[in-house]
Amino acid sequence: MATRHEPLEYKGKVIEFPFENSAEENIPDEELHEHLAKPTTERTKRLKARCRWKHSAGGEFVEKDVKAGIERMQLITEAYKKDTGKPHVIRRANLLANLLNKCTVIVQEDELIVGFNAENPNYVPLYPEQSYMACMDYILDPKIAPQPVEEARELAEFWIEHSLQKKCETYFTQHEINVMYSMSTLETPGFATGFNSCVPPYETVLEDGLLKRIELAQEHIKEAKEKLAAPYWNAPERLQLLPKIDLWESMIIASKAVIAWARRHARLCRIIAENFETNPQRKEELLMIADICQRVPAEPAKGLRDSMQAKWFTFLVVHALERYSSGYAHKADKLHWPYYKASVVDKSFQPMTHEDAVEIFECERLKISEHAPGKSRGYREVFPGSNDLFIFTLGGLNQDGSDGCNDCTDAILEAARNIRTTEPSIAFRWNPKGRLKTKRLVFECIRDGLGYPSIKHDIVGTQQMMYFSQFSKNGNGATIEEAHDWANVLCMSPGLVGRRKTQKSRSEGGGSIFPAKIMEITLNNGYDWSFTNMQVGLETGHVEDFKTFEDVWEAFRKQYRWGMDLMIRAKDVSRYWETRILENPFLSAIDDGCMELGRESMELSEQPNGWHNPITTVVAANSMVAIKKLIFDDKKYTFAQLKKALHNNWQGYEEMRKDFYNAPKWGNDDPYADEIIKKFYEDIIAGEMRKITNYSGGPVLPTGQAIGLYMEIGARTGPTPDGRYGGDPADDGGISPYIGTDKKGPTAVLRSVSKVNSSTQKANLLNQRLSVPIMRSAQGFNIWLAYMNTWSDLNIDHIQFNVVSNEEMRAAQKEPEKHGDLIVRVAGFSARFVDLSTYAQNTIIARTEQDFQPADLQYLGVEL
Amino acid sequence: MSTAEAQLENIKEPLITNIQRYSLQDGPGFRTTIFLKGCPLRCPWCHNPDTQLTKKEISYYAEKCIGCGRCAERCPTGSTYIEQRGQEAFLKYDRSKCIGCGKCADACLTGARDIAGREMPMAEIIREAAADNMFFFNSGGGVTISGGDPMMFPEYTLELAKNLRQEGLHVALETSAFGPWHHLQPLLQYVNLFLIDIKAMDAEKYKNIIKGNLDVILNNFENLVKAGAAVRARLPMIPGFNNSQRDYEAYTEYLGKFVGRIEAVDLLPFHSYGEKKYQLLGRMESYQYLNVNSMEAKELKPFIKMLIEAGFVAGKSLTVGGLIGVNK
Repeated sequence: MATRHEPLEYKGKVIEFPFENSAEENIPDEELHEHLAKPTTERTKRLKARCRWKHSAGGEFVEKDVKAGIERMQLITEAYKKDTGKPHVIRRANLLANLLNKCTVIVQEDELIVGFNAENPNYVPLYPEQSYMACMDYILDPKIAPQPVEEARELAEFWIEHSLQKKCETYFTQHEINVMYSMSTLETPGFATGFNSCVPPYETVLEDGLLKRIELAQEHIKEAKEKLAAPYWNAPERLQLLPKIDLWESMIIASKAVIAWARRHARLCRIIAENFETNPQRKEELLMIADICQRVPAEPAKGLRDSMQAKWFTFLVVHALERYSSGYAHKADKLHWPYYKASVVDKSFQPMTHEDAVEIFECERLKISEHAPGKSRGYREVFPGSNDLFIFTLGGLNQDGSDGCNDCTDAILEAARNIRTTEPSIAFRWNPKGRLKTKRLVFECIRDGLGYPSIKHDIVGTQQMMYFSQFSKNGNGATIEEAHDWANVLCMSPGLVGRRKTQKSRSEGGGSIFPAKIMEITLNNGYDWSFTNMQVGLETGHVEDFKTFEDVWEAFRKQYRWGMDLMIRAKDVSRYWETRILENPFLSAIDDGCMELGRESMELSEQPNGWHNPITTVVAANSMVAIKKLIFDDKKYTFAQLKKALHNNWQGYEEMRKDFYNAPKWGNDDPYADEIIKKFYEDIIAGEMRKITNYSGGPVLPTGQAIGLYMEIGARTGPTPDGRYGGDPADDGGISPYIGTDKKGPTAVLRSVSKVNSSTQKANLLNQRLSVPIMRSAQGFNIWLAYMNTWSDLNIDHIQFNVVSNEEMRAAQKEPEKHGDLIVRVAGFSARFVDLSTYAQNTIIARTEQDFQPADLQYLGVEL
Repeated sequence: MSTAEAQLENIKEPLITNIQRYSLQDGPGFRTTIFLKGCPLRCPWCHNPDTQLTKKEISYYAEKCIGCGRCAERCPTGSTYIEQRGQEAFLKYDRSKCIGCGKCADACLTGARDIAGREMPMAEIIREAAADNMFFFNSGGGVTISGGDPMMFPEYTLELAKNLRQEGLHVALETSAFGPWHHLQPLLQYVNLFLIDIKAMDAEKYKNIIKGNLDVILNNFENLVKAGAAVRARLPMIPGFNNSQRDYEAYTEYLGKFVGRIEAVDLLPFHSYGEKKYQLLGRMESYQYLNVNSMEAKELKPFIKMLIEAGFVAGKSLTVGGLIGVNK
């Protein structure tokens, strides 16, 4: 039997919580999520059952058959070695063309969307040109090594001297390198890890088709050559045209290769249909898919099947073939709406019902669930329970300010609710204008415990696009209209979507800094005693000598500033080399800015979008509060005593630990704590970051989040003055209260969080756990809606929910095989609970469950 | 009643046991409920025994105690002490000597001891209560003054209600209405909704068991309705106390006169979740409902039927549980 919400000890009141769906009455709590998945069709049911997940837990792939493929390594290396004499951007185009022309093409049973990133659906491709270390993680592990392994090793070694890492390390001292690679106060930079992200301008592919892009490039070349030949040669002006001609040329090579590759899929489908398929219905489908792949992405999309297939091909090339980039950033409902309208509403092309559309969106989710890159073990560890980071965005407003929610939005949400996969995650832009029908579907996904959509404040995001626009180096940042077209680039941070001005490299935004660890070293004069045993920061003085709280504040500020400067420098040095050795001819071809200006996608940055992720800020901020209260205000302890207690991990200092743990904490609407922490966020975390100017000419703002790093960095951070023991997890989200220290319920959490001015930050992750029975009762939606409207009025940037009972999580720990459909929100992404490490599972169980206390009540429904 | 009156004389500012934000059942919408410590009645089924007495009390969570003895070291009256029996030491707690100073709770590392009731300046209460005003606005909610019984502190309650109204908040008052009308009457201008407990229709039961006076309560109830106040009648349904056919008839006859003039009748079936609190407060002996099961809503069917026949509308002017939910 399912438990309804428990009655509360309260004045003589028994509060009943019938389930909205009375059938749930008979489902045990610990099995609830196993009953929620309802694939819309038999097809998606089968596809889900045989889905080749590539989740990892503790850095290991969960499914046994997953390993790295060698094909991509072979094909890109072959091409790269062959044409050494060509301009580099042409070499990059040829590298892609060789891969696309020769790679294995895969079409699987039941699929409506085709295309894959490796030679076998169980494989992940490797990216030796991006990171040697990541490749070696696979090559050295016999279970997942590409075969033949010796050849793979040779291929990986070939790329060492051509790698970003090799080029970039030159500009840093050995000490700086050691600090960055130690992953204690700072995240290892992208030039070493190969981790990247990107927002492809899908719109041009769907609206123009690649044949049109080729034509445009040809025209530009023609014009440029005419300019070169015009009377009176002018070298300073005209020599600039040469690299542009090379780039346009590379765009043509890349686009033609993509068309040919798509058409190889068309041919394969036709061959299967005409020679092998015995099921007449499937035969027809294959012929239909063959027709689609023949036309798109070469030609503009005309219906929903076209747009989904064209998007998928574009995604594969940009995110997995031309270069590895994590993410799945696009504004899906806006992107597909014209095609949904053609197919479902007008029935003018590829006519179908709304349910057919839902099925296609379910198929898309399963394609993503099979898709993973060969990223390094370190990055597999920090995204536990998932393949990679895939987040797309829905809702918000259209360019003209009208409601962006439409029936396509609903189809996508219904697909997510029905098929229950952890990926891709969804961000929903919450605007007061957003229609109730769609918000209700958002609620249903959350209520069913998917952990997504995570919700972003629409107006805050749009204003942010305008803010960054003013720093545009070529005076062509987002217009007021374009500022409405944004999506989360990865988990949390907004960036433009559309035909141009999108973010194309993680060197623009991404990468982390760890304030909790910086707090720890600040107390030790920059020395890390608990993890690396080395000087990882500046010598900012012995805290025992500090006279005022401001001394601590300023010492932390210096440590943080030093780390931030180093991090952004590392990203911009990466960017400098990306423009020279990691050009993306295809990505450039589909960006209107690159096309028009003849400037490569890594080099051109029209809309700055600088950000960096402080992770574990709340541990540092709570520590500041405790220090101020107990050492400077109450003068109950000295720094010498505190340090001694910390170096003993509080053992023998239990009473002292209680005082530090009980000091005011973030998330309780406590004026003392909140005043200090607001200042910490605005003055230091954002204040110091925004003084930096990055490659794109704009400031860098903080995107407070967690990924899985709150556990990893927690494990690397000694005891802290907030009363936390060494090795315990850190706070699980950019601005979320520390686990178990928010005592006053969800309204107090929102009040605290709202004190930090959202526009000083890029984004800040807020986790909430809500009680299952309340959310599943008939009053659930109204309660949640009132809560969300207030969240919106408070101008808070973000919120996401876990609605999963402790009973179910504990049951899943005991019998994982029975709970494959239990999904939880980890940080900016959702994960299958059973794929998480026990440690990660426990940190989620420990989050404070916010009950809608004492409880919502049902009107009487007794039949008489 | 005599003890209650004596307390009434002495205590102008009650202790606060809790300010519960995000209450969803003490009136419409999201509410913040203020619990005042002290009650003139002694209902034997009381679910919040920690709000009965006006003084501070220590809650003791035996399961959290690790027996470290820090509390005994700090106890000024010797109410908590270590008893040596041969080789073994036992931590003992004699409540008769306890003055509720809370030093043991301060010393406790595991939270095994907690103080019920704390002083709180009115300004701080108002600040805390008004903090969620944006949630109130979006849900049609507000603040509920509860207890104990706020009518035990009439001047204080009046001042509190007045201050809350000045903040622009919706104010509900939850009370047994056991007090002189001149204590309730001034509240009419500040309280938006009265939640009035009617625990029985039998004057003897009121007098002998819960130490109140039915006439006073019904008079107040009627006066409130006459004055045009918004009123909900709240009926705790207690096994063996007021759930006989005779009780139902008496209730129906009386309340039937108010159909259309009161907001609703809320039936609040007995539940057994108060037991734990008696244990924590060391007052198990005063809990008379040990081993009595929570009442199921369906047991009230006959009563519900009678009330509906009297003219109340299920789900609107008649509820089980009393709630209310989100108003928008």
